[in-house]
Amino acid sequence: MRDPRPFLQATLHRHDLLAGAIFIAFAMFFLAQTFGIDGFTALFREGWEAATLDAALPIGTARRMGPGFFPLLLSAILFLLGAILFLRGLRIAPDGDIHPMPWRGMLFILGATIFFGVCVRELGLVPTTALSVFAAAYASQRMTLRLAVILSAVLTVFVLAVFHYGLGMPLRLYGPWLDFVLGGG
Amino acid sequence: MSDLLANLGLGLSVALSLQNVVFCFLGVLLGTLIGVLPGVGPVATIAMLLPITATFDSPATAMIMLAGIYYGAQYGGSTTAILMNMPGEPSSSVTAIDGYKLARKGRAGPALATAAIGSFFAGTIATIVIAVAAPPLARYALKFGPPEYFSLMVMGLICAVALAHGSVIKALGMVILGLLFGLVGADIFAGVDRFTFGIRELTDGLNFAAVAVGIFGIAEILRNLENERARDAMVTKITGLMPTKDDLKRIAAPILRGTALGSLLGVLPGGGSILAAFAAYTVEKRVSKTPEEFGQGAIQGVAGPESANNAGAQTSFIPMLTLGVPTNPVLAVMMGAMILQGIIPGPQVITRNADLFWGVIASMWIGNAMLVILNLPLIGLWVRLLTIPYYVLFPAIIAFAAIGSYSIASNEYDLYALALFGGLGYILVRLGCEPAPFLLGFVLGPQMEEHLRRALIISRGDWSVFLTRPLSATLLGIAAVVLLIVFVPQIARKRATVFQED
Repeated sequence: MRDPRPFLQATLHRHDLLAGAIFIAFAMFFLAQTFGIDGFTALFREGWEAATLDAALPIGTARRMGPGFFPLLLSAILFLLGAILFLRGLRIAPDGDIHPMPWRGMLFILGATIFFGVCVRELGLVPTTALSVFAAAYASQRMTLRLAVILSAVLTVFVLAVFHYGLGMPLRLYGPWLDFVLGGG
Repeated sequence: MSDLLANLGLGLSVALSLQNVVFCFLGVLLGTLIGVLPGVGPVATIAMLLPITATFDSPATAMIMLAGIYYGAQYGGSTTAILMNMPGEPSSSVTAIDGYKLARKGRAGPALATAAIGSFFAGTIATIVIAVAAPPLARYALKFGPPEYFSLMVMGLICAVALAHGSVIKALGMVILGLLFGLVGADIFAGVDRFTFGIRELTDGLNFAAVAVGIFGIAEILRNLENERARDAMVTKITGLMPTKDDLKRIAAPILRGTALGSLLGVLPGGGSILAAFAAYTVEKRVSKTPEEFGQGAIQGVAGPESANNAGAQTSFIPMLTLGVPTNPVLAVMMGAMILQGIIPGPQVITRNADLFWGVIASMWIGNAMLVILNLPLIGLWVRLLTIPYYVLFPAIIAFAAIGSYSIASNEYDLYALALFGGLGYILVRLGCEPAPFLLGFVLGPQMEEHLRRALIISRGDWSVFLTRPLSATLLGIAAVVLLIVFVPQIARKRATVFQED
């Protein structure tokens, strides 16, 4: 999987604070989804009983669990764990995280992935793959234009050979956005 | 006994079919490749290959190839550990301690051969262990009711938490987060859409392969881009592969002990093979008459852990194949592959899909033999692969991840899941939250809910059902003890050193 690296010191306080906050945020997200707006307002106005009745995902009872029962249980536990982490993170500890955030990598790699999703249907497999690989390659600071073009070309051909010709997957090679270029209709 | 032979015979007849031999070979070849290359792990690789294996007409072939990737990666990981002090897989980090020292002394050849012999022997024994232990366990598991299954899953997840790196609270949080994301999509019982924001494409839930590739593959690329250090491929020259007679005498007992330890610890949930390697190293050091040699290039320090991690990698299939409970993320992905093929993992697999079950087991033995042949003579070639710069490698991973995720269901939301879990996974890992418990939770989420629901229907809403049924109570008891143990300060400290040792 990966080599253990020194920066994975798990007890640094800023890490705990942030991890705790993320857990709490997800717990709130799933809770809000489970209760819905009606359930949430009822929770504060009329209490627990009314909230479980008005929840967007019916909670039910232990005997007859509704679709909201298990998510509610899990969100509550997650909230608790997040709170413990957050409180633990309030103590003073040296911060040892020396690596900068790879903003460039995140932008190009996550961007290329989303681009692929947005465009693959309309643009088709071939141009989308070529463009995504080209963009993703620039996540590295060492990328050169020449190398990016070569990578993009080679990988597109390879992917086409494996997924289209090799496995015969029903993926459209050129999408409707290119019809006017290719003269199709 | 005759049953055992008949079963292994069936397995061999499946595994030796031309198609399966070819795919087993492809699997171990690819496994060795990714094991050698740091930055590409078996979880992401297997997940990326899910869409390809889903097109195979035979589930056995798919599983044989994916299993080959898994133990092939263990094998490749040791090669780089010995030659360059760069463990390709976490479980080979123990091998690096003495293996690299041996290589520095000009004894890389014997160290590699020892790893190969140890792994092959361990693989052979572990294959037999699975064949002997799995059928009774599966028969026993057929008696499990919903409460037992629920408690078993709780225990499995807690053990995985205990064996994760870093903070226990964070690992617990990751399990819960995984369980919650596992629930996205239509609820199996009532058919109500949950957490989908009304997006039709999410009704079937988040795509398993996309989530796994995101959190293990994409996140890993982002980590490697933090610091684009040059990989110095300073490789020791290999002269003379064969161990001397004296070496053989010294490695025989460690291989036996390592195999036994590995077979036993591999069954435990939560990264059995890593634990097995560490345990084997400790044992060898303890029983050795010359413990001062350890850390300076003791060949026993290669033989024990290598045998243990290979045996552990194989016996870790037992809980997944017989109980439907994956013990580590690789097996979680394998379970995903089985489900994609329409096979529900559990105790019925061994009878209903006997050819698959025994075929996969027999193929492990064949795959191990292939690995020996593949690795020893070709070691120079593998090592040369390390000179491939990372900035050539990662665009290829992105391309495969994107098309792989899309081709499963032609669903663009799978790509968004890939990006989301890649980014989220990276941030969480950086904050010290391990991805392994998340993936285990994600796979088990829907089943856990189902077993909880059924258990509570049986008991008419009485929660004590989990404690009044003896087996369920025992499983929960084990979970509680494990959880208590990891919070005992003394053990917590020991655990920290085991998992953060370089």
